[in-house]
Amino acid sequence: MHKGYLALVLHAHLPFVRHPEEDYFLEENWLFEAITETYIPLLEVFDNLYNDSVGFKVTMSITPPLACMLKDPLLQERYLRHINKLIELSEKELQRTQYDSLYHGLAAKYNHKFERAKQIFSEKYKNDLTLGFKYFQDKGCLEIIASCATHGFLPNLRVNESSVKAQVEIGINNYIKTFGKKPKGFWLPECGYYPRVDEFLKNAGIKYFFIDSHGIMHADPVPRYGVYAPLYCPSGVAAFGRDWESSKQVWSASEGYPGDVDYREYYRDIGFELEYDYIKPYIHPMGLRVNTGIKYWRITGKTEYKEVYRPDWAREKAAQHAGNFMFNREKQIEHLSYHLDRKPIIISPYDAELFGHWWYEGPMWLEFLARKMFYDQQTIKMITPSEYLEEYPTNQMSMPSQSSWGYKGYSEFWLEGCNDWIYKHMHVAGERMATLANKYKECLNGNPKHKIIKRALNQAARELLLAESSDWPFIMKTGTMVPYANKRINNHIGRFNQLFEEINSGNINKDWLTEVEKRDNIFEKVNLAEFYLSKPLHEKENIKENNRKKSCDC
Amino acid sequence: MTKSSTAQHFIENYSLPESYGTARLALLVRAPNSIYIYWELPEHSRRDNNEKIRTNDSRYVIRMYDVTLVDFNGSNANHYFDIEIDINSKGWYVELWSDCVTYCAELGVRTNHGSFIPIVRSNYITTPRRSFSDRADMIWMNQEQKAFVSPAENIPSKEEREVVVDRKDLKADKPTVAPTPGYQRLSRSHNRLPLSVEEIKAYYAKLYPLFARIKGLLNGKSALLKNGMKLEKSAEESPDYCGSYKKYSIGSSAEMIEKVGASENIAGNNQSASEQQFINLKGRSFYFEIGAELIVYGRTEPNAIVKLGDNVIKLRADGTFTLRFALPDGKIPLDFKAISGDKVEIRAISTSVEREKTRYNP
Repeated sequence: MHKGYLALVLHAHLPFVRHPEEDYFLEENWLFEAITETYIPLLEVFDNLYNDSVGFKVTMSITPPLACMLKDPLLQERYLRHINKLIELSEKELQRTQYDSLYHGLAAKYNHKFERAKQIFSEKYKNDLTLGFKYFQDKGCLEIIASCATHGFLPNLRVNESSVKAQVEIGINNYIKTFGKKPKGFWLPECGYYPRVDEFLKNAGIKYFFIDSHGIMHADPVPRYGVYAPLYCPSGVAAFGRDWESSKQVWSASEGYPGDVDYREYYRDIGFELEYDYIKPYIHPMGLRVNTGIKYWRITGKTEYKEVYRPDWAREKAAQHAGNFMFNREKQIEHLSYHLDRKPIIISPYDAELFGHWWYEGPMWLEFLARKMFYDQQTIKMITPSEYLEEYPTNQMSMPSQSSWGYKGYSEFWLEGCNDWIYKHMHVAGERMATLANKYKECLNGNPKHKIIKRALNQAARELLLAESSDWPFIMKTGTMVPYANKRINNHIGRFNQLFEEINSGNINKDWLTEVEKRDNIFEKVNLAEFYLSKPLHEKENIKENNRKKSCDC
Repeated sequence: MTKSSTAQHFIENYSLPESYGTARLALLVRAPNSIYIYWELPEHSRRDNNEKIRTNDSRYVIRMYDVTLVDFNGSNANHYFDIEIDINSKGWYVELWSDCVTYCAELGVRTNHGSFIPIVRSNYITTPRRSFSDRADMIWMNQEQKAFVSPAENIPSKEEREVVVDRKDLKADKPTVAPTPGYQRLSRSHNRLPLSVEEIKAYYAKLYPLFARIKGLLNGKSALLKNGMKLEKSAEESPDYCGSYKKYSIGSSAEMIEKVGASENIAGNNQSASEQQFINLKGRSFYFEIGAELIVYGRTEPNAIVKLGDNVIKLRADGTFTLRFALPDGKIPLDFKAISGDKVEIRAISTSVEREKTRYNP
């Protein structure tokens, strides 16, 4: 009989990057790389486990920007173009390396991987990977949770509560559209929590969310079970706290598994390593060297010299590491269950893109872990938070503390010298959006007379949401691709401000609006402006309806 | 952009306005002891103020009000302090000396007579707690039954139910709820008494009166505010709980969290998300490498078949071909064979290329 639980949580997110105005756009590769290296490998892992009847439970967030991109026909088409190019390159590599046994084997593996990715993408899931994740959710192995509309870091948006509410509600709306049911759980972007934000979740029907360890430990009153059982916020929504021991084993630079010498080196890619003329057709059209995804070397050590990657060695290590992870969790659970009067739950959340993209062997590790946990031990069982709440509906109530999972645990990463300038613009736009929505409320009713204003209002909301993504201040802080993040903020806020003026002046430029709608098409056809109303639209409609009925009766 | 302009005049790079034309002051939480303040005071507001005050000696200040557990009406703050600012800068980071404080701020002018004329008021923020709470009340909630319950043993009578919501009484003598070292073993079969939703909200309103005021969490806020003040006092009375609590947190993450804060930080990372651990590994400075490749090219009739060993080589439309090989140390045999389109004629060309062992002299 098992003594406790493990909840593996994978947070899948990418910012909304889609540029129909350009034929090739470098940053769109973020999505393409993640599809080939993370999302498809994860689906393959789930498929393998499911086919072998290995019971496993994984909780996963797929954020609305990611879901929208995965469902976008233009990006789907561009992914196919991307993977076809990679297949072509890997075929050339097969030939180029044929007198070098070590490299040739790797080239063959990549060639196979890309061919398979293409087949899974286009044939199995008909270009829409969200169907794959939905499939495993419907089978009961995966619990997909909702997240904010555009990954807004809520503690920094709370100056306007209407913006926070819209981030939550639009996120949930998109979830229902994508996965066909109501979400039980919610991923707060960057685990950014502040007291009472849970009330918005409660109003939207959410049962639980995740928070970093210190958000639980510093809760008021003090939590009896630490992070090993959820707390109910006063609103009644459960907060599950991250366990840092298990996090550290995977994340840590010094002790974490992904830094092992036998694992694949991320920073040696043939896009940078091979002779320029040869690789030129497969890098940026301007001739800039970029990652192709073909990497032949292993981490080797803290040295510039890198040895050839040996897939069999890496596989062996992934199995060892999965065993080690399981062993440590067993010991942890045994220790905890001695002290607790209930089965403890260990929450281990990770960025999904760590698995496969950064840590190439990550999906393999996950599969080994699920198999080992199913067959080799009886101390610990995989679970989803909603199942835990069904088993333990009574939990301590306490107010978690404001926190995030970023640097130093609060808001510093998204609020410092290099990125603080964005908040004034974001807050002004948020305030203006709420004003606009309420002022032009009657235009949201679907009357064709007001169609153009309605379109402009919805597009204004789209621009605001896209500006609110936590990815832009994050990129500004990390210092890579900063001009792109600056441009995105400037353009979304700039377009918002222009829409604000045009709506107020009653002089909306239709052609321009159509072009903006075409470019920033996230949440297409959703009446976004309604989410900014202080009172729901239908209330008024009902009143109107009643009045009309009344007048008819008269 | 005017109405006549079209997509061809699409602005690709906006620059954002310096000012939005209204006075504004906002507070953002950065860390338990650090906040960010930004402000904007447009020219016309400044002119208006100068006219009102009729003096040039006045200074712009931000008055920070500590309104923890206070229903702030502009003059009842627990205390306040002024930060003299340069009105032309856009925002400042302010380091604070205590965590878990609710602030509201006003941007205004302080005259040389010491009077303060506020211009704009900010939003409210509460800085996060930087360590364990010193409140040990145990309240339990059951979401399945939509009721609140207390699992604490020995709460037999209705009269005693109040102890759960009143911190002061609780402190007095309720050993069952008071902490003991080590995780408490709770029997799940013991008697649990439901608390009403109102009771539970009242409890939280005491802890966070500000919430009640802002969002109307409950009615009758003023009475509760008084209670809230009582509660604040009693919060200091249970120091031993934290001590014992820390003991039982060994083996959990609490110890480390207490020392260093967030989990990401424990791992020694200064970035969140997946990138951090790889950045150290990258560590390039001076490097020097060479690679060697071999290019072999040839031509034949476009309809011929060319083989290298057993592999058929793809010809271009004009019958030319180019092969490119990685050239590791060692010998590469090159045995080509061409078969004419009508399969009548076969020709062979053989050669080999050898790369000597590469020597690295440090």
